Amino acid sequence: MAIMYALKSSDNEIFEVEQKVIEQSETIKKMIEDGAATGEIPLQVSSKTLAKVLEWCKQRQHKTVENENDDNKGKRKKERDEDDDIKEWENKFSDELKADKDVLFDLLLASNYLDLPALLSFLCQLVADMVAGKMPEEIRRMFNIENDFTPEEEKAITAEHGWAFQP
Amino acid sequence: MDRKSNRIRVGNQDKEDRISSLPDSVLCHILSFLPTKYAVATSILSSRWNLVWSSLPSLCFDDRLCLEYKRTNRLTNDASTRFENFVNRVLVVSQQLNIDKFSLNCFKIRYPACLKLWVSAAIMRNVREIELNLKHQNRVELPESIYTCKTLEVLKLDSDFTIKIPPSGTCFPSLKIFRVVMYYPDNDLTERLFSMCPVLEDLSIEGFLDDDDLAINFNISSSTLKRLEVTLTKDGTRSYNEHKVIIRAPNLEQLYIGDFVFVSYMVHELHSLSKAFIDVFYMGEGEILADRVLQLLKDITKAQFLSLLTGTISF
Repeated sequence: MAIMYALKSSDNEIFEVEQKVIEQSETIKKMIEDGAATGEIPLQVSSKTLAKVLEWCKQRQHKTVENENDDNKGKRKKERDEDDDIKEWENKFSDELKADKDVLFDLLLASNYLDLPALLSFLCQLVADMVAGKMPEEIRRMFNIENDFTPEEEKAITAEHGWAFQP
Repeated sequence: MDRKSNRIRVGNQDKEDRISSLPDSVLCHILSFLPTKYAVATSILSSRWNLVWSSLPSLCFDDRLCLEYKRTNRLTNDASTRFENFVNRVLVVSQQLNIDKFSLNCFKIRYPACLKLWVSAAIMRNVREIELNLKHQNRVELPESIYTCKTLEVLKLDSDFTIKIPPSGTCFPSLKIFRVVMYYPDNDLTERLFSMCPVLEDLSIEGFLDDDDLAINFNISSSTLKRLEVTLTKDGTRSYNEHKVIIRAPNLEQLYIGDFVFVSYMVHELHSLSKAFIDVFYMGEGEILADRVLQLLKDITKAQFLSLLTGTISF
């Protein structure tokens, strides 16, 4: 019988989750080890974001369990199919986040707070891909970044790292 | 410098700048997935971003990341100078005391002395991994400090460098992963280099040999080596050669040989070998030389998994 834990979101919603799934979070794992997690585990994450985080964790968990249960026979094809499934799932997950950047940033903050290295790297890579090779003006527009430099300051920065700004 | 506000008015909508409020560590993590050129370019976004890139632990330079190269497949001297200035500036401004990785992919370098300076700078900052590819430039020298660097664990030399092994018995004291391309190497180097690396675990050699030259012996003797990959290619059409690969590696688990030269092999003490991939191919008359492959196969019979690919051999 799997050990279950109750996670409480910042807006007081309770999520019942298997220990194996939530132990991917170093923060929660530490709370459990320290004995701080009797009853509900209170988290500074909204229910909407937490649901998304758990969606990711369950997918990862699914992947590890499947691999453990594999026998060698036919593994190659199965592994290939699984890899394809995971890719497809991840692509869908990324597309949703790209379409709603608020969710993306909520998830980034949550993965940082919960210490979920795999999710954090995945999201950072996603943002990096959105930025790569774009002109500063495009990046500012994409993320609503206000340029607070004076024209002189901007000129000085461009002069200092000239090659970085060459298309 | 204070930010005026993280809100910007677009039309009638108030849109928040969420990315700039992320912690520095997360912004740095994002930039770590970008080539250094793009990471540095974020310095102009706003004052919040100005120096985020300077805490990056990995520096990754590539002079082909510009329109000029993409359009013409070439770089003018001007472009190369700008690139060199850029690398110099980044190395000065970067605030990391320790650099994890220094990678340089360079289509054209006007002053090879620059390379020595850059690699030295990385070594002084305790670099763990160095990856260099200077394309068609030949016999480029490395700084002496690289041979005795105690922090260097990964070295990938993907173009033609001059390797000068130190007179002492040790070279690359902490190197675990070593990938090297060797164009017409000297026998003195191939006989000594690989056995001088005391903790080597993973070695890939891509060798180009000349069939007019003297015999080259690749002497790979290591008690720490777990994975070895040797690919050999040659110029010329003469089939007979005296080149040799000598392997003595009691802890070697995986062996990959891609031999398009038909060299001979002396293999000893491969007690731990579990996987071997042997790919031999030769266009000339290989009858006499086929014995060499048979000898190799006899020596590696302990491997649990053996993949053999051969072409144009008449046994």
